[in-house]
Amino acid sequence: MQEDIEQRISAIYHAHYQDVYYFLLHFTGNQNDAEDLTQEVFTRVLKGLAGFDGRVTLKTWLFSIAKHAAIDQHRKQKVKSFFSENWLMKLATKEGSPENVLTKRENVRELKQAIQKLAPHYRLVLILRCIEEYSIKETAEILGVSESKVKVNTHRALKLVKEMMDDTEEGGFLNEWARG
Amino acid sequence: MSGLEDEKLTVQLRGLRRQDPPPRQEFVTYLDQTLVKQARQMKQRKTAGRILSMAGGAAATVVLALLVAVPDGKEAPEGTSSVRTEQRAENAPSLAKEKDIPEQRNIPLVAEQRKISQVKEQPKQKERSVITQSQSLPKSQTLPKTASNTPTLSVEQYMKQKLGDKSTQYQLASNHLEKDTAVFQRVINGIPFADSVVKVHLESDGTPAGMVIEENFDAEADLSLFPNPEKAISKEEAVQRLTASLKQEEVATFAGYINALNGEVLDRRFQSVAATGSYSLIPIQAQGKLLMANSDEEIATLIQKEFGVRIGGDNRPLSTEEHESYMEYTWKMTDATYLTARFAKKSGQLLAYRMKTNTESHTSPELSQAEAAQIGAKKLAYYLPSQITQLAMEGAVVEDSAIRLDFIAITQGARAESHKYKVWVDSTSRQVVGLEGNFSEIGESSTESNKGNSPSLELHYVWPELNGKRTPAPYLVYQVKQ
Repeated sequence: MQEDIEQRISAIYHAHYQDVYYFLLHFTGNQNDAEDLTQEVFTRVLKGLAGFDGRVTLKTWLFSIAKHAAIDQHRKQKVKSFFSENWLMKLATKEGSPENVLTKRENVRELKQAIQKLAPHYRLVLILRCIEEYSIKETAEILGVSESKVKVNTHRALKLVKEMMDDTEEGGFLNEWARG
Repeated sequence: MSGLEDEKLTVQLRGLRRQDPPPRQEFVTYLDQTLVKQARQMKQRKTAGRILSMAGGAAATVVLALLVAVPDGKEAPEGTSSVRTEQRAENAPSLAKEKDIPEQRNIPLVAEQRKISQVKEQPKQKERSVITQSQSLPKSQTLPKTASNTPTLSVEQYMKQKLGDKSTQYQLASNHLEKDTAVFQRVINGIPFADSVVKVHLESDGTPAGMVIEENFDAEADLSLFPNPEKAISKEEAVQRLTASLKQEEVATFAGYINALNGEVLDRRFQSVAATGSYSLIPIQAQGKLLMANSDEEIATLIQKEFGVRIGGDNRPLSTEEHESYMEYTWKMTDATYLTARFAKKSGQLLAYRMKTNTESHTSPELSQAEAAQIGAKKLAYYLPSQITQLAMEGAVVEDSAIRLDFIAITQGARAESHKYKVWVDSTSRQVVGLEGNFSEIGESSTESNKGNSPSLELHYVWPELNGKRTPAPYLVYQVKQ
């Protein structure tokens, strides 16, 4: 197994780097941080590859490493602002009138702001379930919680996001970190 | 939130999936190359380690043979040494094989390399560590740079290049564990701050390959929030507080903190040990019972017998999933209760089992955490290898109608990081409804004995998060050196 470690890590990297990167981008809201953390994740994967025993799927293992990397970073870093200009300024342009584009951009911006304001456990479950569309079982495995917990937290996270977006529309964006 | 709004929001969220730009192509290529390079180096180090241990074994044998043959320094009779050498050389490969240990062990820690090179002259070798002195780091905490012809940056130069003058605020962490990473901690008021860390990734020759900065920006804002270390209680007093709060055998492995301002002993979650009693070691009598089964039928019988559960029908599982190294079986027991068990494919050994009821209801536990821990540890002890004499409880959470306990094995007074366990105890029936963990024997490398009567303490700043929110100011704490 050790002999083909170069091929293995390269294959794993090519198959999953985008998924890991996007997951971390949604979590951090910052492209640079997402790239740094992606590097951190795959370095950890390389180190742990020999010990990976297949008790969970490779993807679940990768994402639990990514989750830990994201949480570690969150724990050690109090973000300077609630949203990243880097991420928000790079929103893809959609077809439509300038007004429509602007409205859509504004909605997406608000949505991203709301995600960034969620407490990490809600943010993680929302990203995995609602954005990356993992199953309840997969999400539970990645996060190391029960499936019922995943359901409950997804529901609560959605509710919080909705509340925050409503607050924004009413002009009173709640400036509260770590809801829930 | 109405159903329609809920759906709209879900659609919006799904739309975010790949809306953002992908990672920069140059980054993708760079990381790909870096990983392949690191993988190659890992392989080379492993190979080199094997060759070195073989060659080292053979060389040592020659020296030993000469010493034995010529105790007073006289020339050995012709033939004597060569015969001995040949005999030993034949044995050398098998000896080397026995020493075919993980590659990390062949490569000393950066700190070890430093220590060796300061104490005695370096033996000739291809990749020799060279010590550089730096104003930012104490003499005992400098790092190697390469002595090759190509000029390369030392870690200090690299830090200076990346961080500017701020690099002087960082100090090599005394307890950094990763072999190919130099971990620096920020030092405030002369005290290391655990939440501001710079990790410099090193190539095998000590050349810096990249860095990760994990910073707490609060520290940038107001350094006056950091408690004055002059107000700290003495180490002796901290030790007294610790030994007064814990059992003697718990002290050496204590993973929590002692608040250096008021002497309060805190667990890993910064909760007072006196208030919660949450840090505890549970002595066990491990019985090393192996649970083995090789067919669906055998597995069902074993689980029913061992865990007192009743599987209806003909013992056939509802589903069988084949994974790379294990098989996972699920039985439906009642309308909403399922039993899942994992068995190793090769050995047929039970790896985990869990009985769950798929309801969303959450009952408040009728069982205290301490009681659950006793029940869980007692059951777990049947299946643990006999080297384990104690379990340290690392945490407890309520999951559905059960309390999940997280344990780590303690053997020879040290934590065995490779042997962690989860045990679920039903809060109503008080039965163990799930077990998971490493039930194999503990290798010698899994633990490092840290027995000792008087713990060695280090002073740190930490900035805790309680209930998801950072405390208003950092804590100045003592920690036991593990």
